[in-house]
Amino acid sequence: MNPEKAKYLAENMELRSRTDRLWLNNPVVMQGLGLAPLVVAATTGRNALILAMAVALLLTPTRLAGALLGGVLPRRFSIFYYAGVACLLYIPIYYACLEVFGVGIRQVGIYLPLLVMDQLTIRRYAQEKAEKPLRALRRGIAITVGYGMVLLLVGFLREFLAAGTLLDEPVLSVRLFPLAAQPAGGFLLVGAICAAWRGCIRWYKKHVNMEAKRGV
Amino acid sequence: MTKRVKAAIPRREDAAVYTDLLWMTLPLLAFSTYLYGPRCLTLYGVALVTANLCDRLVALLRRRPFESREFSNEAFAAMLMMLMPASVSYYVVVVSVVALVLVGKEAFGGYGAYIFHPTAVGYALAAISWPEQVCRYPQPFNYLPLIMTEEPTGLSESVFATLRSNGIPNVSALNLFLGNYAGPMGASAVMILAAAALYLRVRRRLSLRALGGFWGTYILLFWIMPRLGGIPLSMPWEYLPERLEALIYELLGGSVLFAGVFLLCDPYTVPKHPLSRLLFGIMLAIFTLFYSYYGSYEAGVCFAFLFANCVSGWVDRMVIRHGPGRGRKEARA
Repeated sequence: MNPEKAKYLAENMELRSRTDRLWLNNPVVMQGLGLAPLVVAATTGRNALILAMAVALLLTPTRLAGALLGGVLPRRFSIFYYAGVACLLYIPIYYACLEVFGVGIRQVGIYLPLLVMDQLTIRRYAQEKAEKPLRALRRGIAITVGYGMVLLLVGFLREFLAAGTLLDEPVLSVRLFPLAAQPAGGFLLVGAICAAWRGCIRWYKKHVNMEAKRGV
Repeated sequence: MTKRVKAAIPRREDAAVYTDLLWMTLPLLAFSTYLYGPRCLTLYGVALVTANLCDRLVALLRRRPFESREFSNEAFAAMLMMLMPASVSYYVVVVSVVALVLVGKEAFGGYGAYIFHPTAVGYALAAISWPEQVCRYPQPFNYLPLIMTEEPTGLSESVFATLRSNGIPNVSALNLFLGNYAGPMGASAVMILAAAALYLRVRRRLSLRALGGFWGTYILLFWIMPRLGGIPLSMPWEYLPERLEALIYELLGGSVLFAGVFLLCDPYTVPKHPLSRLLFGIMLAIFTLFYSYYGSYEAGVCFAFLFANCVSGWVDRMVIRHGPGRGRKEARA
């Protein structure tokens, strides 16, 4: 690694660790958000796509609307307007998902409507101060991308391990780990992914710091 | 230049329990090899090697020295193999043992910190994932090849499966006693299991209270509520021969006998206080009854173990806090 770059990365590591929602501070891996739909409902690639679409359409608009309303309404009502906006947005999102995936969205069950009350969507209400709309938009998009990435990874991996297929297309003739289709298997898999991910991040931070020190 | 001194590894207090358990699986392995052929030996070897490699991997990841004289992983893997049929594939064995070590033991903190019996965790994972392999057994003296390229034929369900479907198993009491029926590799040898229980008791690995609580309640419950078809709801002193026949099947026909001896020896998943050990045994028998009636898998006792382990720590704490004083100091130590 270039010493200059390593020094720059090492100096800004803390800031990057807070703002990077894709790798260094992924909402699932580092914060444990949105685990219920991930573990229970994202059993196949198609289910993961349905959930990813719903999250993409729900999370950022809710956060943005919450930030806008936070500037007008008292903060003590924040849970009402965050949850209210999410509930209102869910109605068109449900029809959009139905249009794209058909009755297949029933596979996700209650976990699709439950997204409106998931900490992933409305956790900002607990903050004392309302965030600025532009920041809400930026962070909403970052969290959506970070969550969607893990969601798709877990969904496709579980389908591959449990049934040997990808989007219902046969890839393997054997079932490598049938338990992956069950919530228990989902927990195991998400745990293993989180452990590996966190291990990689720890290694990356250590590597950057060592390179920066070597440059000095 | 400083010389790196390798620190001496302190010997685990209870490590000898696992060594004893591992030794005691060897006679069962010999008997299963006699019944099902050399495939049992290779399955056992694969399980042991996998468990050892997992132990080394965990030592590497946790940056701690590998304890070559601590055989807990190997003992858990050996016990798991005794619950499996001889026809199970090597892949299932490897995945189950990896799950047993990494999920059942190491995920909870490793040696002495696990709350669920690792063997029960490994068996539960295998039974849920591959029921067609784990819950179907080859006939005795039907020697299977070491490497099977095709699905084995002639597999049959166990005595427990027949009992669960309200049927009457077609196995004589003598064959049950001799282990001459389709069943798990190491769970059908009654005489060897009795000898192993005696050895483990003499070596003080097996708690009499836990053993008595479990077997007493188990026998009592299945005497009152037999699963044999044809016995209607009646008083316990009616239909005595039929009840006795059903009880023999419940005792000798599955993996309860094995689990009721080997799994009860674990020093960490079984409570410490004498009274809580008795309560644990009773709870385990009640959960086993529920699983036998309503469960979907053969070795309901393994699932019952997982359930009982959920509350065993709490029972121990409650008994130590509110129970009689006898044994309190010992349990706290």
